[in-house]
Amino acid sequence: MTMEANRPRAMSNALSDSLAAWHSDAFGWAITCCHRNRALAEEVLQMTYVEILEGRARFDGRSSFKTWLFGVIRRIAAGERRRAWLSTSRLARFARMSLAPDAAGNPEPALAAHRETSSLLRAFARLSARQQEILHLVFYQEMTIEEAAAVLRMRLGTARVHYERGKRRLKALLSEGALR
Amino acid sequence: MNRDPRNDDRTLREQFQALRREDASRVPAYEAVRAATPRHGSRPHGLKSIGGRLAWSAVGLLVLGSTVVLWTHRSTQRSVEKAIAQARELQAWSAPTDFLLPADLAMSEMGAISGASARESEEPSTTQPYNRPD
Repeated sequence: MTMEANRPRAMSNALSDSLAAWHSDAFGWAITCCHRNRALAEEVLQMTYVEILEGRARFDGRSSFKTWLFGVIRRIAAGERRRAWLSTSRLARFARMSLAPDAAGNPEPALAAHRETSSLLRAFARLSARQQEILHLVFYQEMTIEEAAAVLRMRLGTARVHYERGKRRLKALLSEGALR
Repeated sequence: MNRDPRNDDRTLREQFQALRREDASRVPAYEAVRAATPRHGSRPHGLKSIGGRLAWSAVGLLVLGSTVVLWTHRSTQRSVEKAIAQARELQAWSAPTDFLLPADLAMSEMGAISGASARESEEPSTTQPYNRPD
């Protein structure tokens, strides 16, 4: 009886440990899904953790924990972005947050100091959402294209096309920026 | 002039890893994120909300369907009633030239009778025996 009662708690603790282990990577992914909006990324991550720990999103072991976790983050981030666009008041807030992330109390001033990183971010922002996602997963999270395709729920062939086109465009944009 | 694409890939990877290191230095603590309440509260995602949406859609469809059925039924009933009323009207209706009909009929009857008697007087009777000419 006691063992049965303790099982959900043990599972919750195991889930919490797994989330803690992937927290840094998850934040990096959330911030990309939220177009480098740090405040929104934190909120998305909070909602993801709540959804997982309350059992509304369940890991069924069909993929790796990281792939599944990234899928949940992506879904919640997409929902939040959609909600922000649908709601007028939130739209205004979203616009404020997007236009002036520094003013939201979560500045990214350190990026300005790192010229290379900021030029990468500028070029990266000009890619399509799909290209951004796949390049982030491959180059930042060091996933294979197959794993990235699983996170993005797309066919491997489609993922490869987005990857190749995105990489080509990013290189072109970076070299354009370097020439200026 | 031609650059090795593998070198390009390596450069990209290095740039992304530099970005990753920068991000890692500013990641909020896991416990802090977990403990914080989402600004919009935890919304019931998943089956519950899908069930709710389905139920509302079903109610909407039911209302729409019953409105269409009622409207169709009423319009059918109305058309039957209209047809009956039209039939009654037609039954009661008489043409304005109906008064001509008896006189006309009488004249034609008279004409028919007189014409027949005249023909009878002119034509030989068919009942008479036929006289064969010699």
